[in-house]
Amino acid sequence: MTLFLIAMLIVVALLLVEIPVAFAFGIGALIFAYTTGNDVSFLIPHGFKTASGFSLLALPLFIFAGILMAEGGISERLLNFVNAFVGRIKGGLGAVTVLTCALFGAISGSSSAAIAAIGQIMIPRMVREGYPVGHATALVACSSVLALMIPPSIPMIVFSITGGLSVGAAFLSTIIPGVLLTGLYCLLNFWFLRNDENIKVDAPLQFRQAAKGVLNSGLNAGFALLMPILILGVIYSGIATPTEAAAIAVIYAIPVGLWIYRGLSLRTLGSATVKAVTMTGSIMAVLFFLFIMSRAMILEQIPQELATSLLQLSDNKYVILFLLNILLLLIGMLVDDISGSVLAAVIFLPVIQQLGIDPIHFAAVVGVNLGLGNVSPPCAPMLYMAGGVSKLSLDQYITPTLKFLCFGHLPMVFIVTFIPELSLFLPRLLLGY
Amino acid sequence: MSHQDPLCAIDRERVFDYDPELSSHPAVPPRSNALLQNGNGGGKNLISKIERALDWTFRALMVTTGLALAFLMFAQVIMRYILESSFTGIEEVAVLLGVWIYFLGMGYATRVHEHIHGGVISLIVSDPLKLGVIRFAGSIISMIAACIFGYFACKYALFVIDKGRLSINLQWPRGLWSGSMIVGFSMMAGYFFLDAANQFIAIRALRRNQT
Repeated sequence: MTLFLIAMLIVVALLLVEIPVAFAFGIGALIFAYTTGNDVSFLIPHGFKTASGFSLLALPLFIFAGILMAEGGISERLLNFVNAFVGRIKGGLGAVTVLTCALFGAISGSSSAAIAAIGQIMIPRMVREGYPVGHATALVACSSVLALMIPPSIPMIVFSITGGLSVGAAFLSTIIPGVLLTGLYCLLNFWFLRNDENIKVDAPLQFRQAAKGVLNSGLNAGFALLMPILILGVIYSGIATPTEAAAIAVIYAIPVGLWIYRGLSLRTLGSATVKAVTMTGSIMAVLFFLFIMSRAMILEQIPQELATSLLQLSDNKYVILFLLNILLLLIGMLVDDISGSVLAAVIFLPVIQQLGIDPIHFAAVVGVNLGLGNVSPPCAPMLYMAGGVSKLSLDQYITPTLKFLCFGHLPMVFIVTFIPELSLFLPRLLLGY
Repeated sequence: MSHQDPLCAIDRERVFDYDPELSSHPAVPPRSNALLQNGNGGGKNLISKIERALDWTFRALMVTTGLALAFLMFAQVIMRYILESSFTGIEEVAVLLGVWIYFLGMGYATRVHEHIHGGVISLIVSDPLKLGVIRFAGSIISMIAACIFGYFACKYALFVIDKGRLSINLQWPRGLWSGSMIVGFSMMAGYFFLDAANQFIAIRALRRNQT
């Protein structure tokens, strides 16, 4: 255990000096394997065999589908659609941002893509309409992580495959928390801006005009909105596996982008493919080294030792869940969501199983916690990325971010942790889980 | 490489950017991207030409494998429901394309600095020289790690090739699968090396400017 802790400290130190996450874990795995006498020659085949699992092919295909839709020009259409509902009330543009990020997440599955696509349009638009720039940036950063909770979610694919769980059930577990968090962020946005006199609001439309606007923008965004329905529909009706559903989504997104939305050309199709493969590579690098690290940990019975240590602190499952929340938050603050989900599956699932906690409930806890970690400094990739879009330094938007996190995401973490029915309702209803 | 070439037009815009330097820290110099293109050779020296040819090849392979995987998996659904016969070899080919996508992607992510990373150094160190030195050390450490893992990956891949193992359904040599690791780790080690070289040149230039 001491050697493992030393290896993890080295990993953290390497992460802090900006060594790529994959190589930080790779070096940690090497050090741990050598000091414990494990032969790296036997660990590499394990990493390769786990990475070449058929079910993991869903990962590149979902990434590809998301990039194709994002490149195909869906962001403006989604924004117009949501704007037709809530755009003409005070704080409505903020709600449009939150709702569009959630919808965009359901299509692309990537929070960074949500910031790039939605943030670049909505931050300047909100600032023009009198929103404080810090508020606008914080809202985009916090809402972007909704993409991790609304399926298809890439961290959930990775978590369920690593933990040997049903991908479909893991997808469903975070839907209700994701929808609730979307609503909570909308409410908080209205609440924080209630006394702001600078915000401009367009005059409300008559019912007929408003209905016409909703219908037109809905038709315009229809093909994009159909994609998550298509993906989830084919998975939960049993027509296709998640991997095949992802391929269907890619094949659907190509003609939509090329001929219907006309955002794609044959040239940008090539560009989108390279982006998807590169993004897949960067994620798979992390997974490959984490699979090696996890094998070395399992050989040394580290998960069991950790479980015993945690259970020695308390045998009350709520206390353990609370402790796990803190640990997951710390992991989320230090590493990205993908690495966090693998670590959670490898290290914490044995503890969860010993305590009799449902692993699908734990999948939701992991999803919500890692989302929070993604916008919590020091390593808060989504937070920095949103700041990059608005050209603000962290101190200019950290206060509104913390307000959103403390009153929005953090309570949701506890709600999901201590009310398992919230995450288990849909898997039970749709999959008889 | 001609500008009419579609692969040449593939842009280098980042999607999956986890870079803390995006927080627009005024003193942080941008990461140099794909080296040697910024070098003094102006794209005319031999190394630069080789690098560009490799770049084109990797992009072509990535586009081919990425699209082939999507169409193959779609074909599997079509075969199952429309032709009512599934071909078990599809899964083997899909995994073959998958592992090539993973390792080509890993290598190319090194070239375009798309590897996921966090850290706080860019936020707290404002001296470009110090930051350059830290990044240089990071590239060297990553390169060594890539070389070590690459060595073990080659050992495993060559073992599989030597044994002449074949896949179950298609009876294709298993080396086709494990060979992807050799290419991926070679790309990573090579690009980290070029990155380190580029950073070393930048550090020397900064030192010269400071003195």
